[in-house]
Amino acid sequence: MNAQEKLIHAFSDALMIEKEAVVDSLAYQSIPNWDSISHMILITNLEAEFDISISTDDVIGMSSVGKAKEILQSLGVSFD
Amino acid sequence: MSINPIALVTGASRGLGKAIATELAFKGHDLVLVARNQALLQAVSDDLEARFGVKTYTFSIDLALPDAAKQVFDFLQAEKLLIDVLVNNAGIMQNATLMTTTDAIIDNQLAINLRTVLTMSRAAVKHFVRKRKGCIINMSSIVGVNGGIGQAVYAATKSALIGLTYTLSKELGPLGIRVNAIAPGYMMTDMTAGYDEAHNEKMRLSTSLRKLGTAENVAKLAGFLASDDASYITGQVIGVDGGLLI
Repeated sequence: MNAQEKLIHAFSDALMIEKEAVVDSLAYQSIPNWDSISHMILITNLEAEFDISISTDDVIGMSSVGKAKEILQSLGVSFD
Repeated sequence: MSINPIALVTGASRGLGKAIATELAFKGHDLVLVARNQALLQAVSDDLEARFGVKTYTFSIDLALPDAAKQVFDFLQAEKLLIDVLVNNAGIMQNATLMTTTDAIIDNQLAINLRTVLTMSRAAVKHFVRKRKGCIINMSSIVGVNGGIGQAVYAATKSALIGLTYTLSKELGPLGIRVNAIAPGYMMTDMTAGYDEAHNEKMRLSTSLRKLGTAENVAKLAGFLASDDASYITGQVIGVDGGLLI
């Protein structure tokens, strides 16, 4: 899987939503499935998928799918 | 590669921590032993590996450091270890009546007894969420439940761990993570070694069982709480005090 596919898989699995629903504009708490519990699962999914460690500040800052991409890119993940 | 569950115990070089690590090794856990003194940690490590055939890892660090938890968990990441149990045992007790309580006494105890417990738990949760299972055991104290003259800061930190235990058990329960606290009474360990015989006798007579506790008394409970036998137990503060409170 490429980075985009990994990202979508991580979100889809954590939030238990269809992959098609994982779009950049999807925001934390904008849907019932993205709550504080699923957010924790999402963080650990992303850490496992990309073999990275996400800081507390970034955990707090991961407010949307688009923002997640920015954070992953800052941690060295390429979406090209 | 070992298939044993992995328990991380802070303050594992002596006293309650050493006893808990021993009990968990007896029950088949591999161990990550954390404390300041590497020589003492290594002795515990060597002993447990020889006696129980488990794998142990040691990491020496001053848990008062602001980034202590990060250092510990960076070590775990480097070793590719995902823990199953976190025992927040490390703690210090610096007694003083309130008017003689210095800022250093406040800061030192807050750092180790509370702040690092929070940061270690925050880091451990990531391990547990990946498995949808985990166990945190916080070492509170009878003083956290009942207060103690000359122990304002110690009591405050140990009482805070009770609130933390209740909160985390609610917050993390949906993810399969259990959080409990142990509140030891007056135990014969390094922490109480400075008290004289008259004090010890007074404490002994204050218990309904008429005896002082040992580190092993606490360790047995920790071993149970870490096990699947306690799979429906969370959000509890369990005293091991010989009936000292009643």
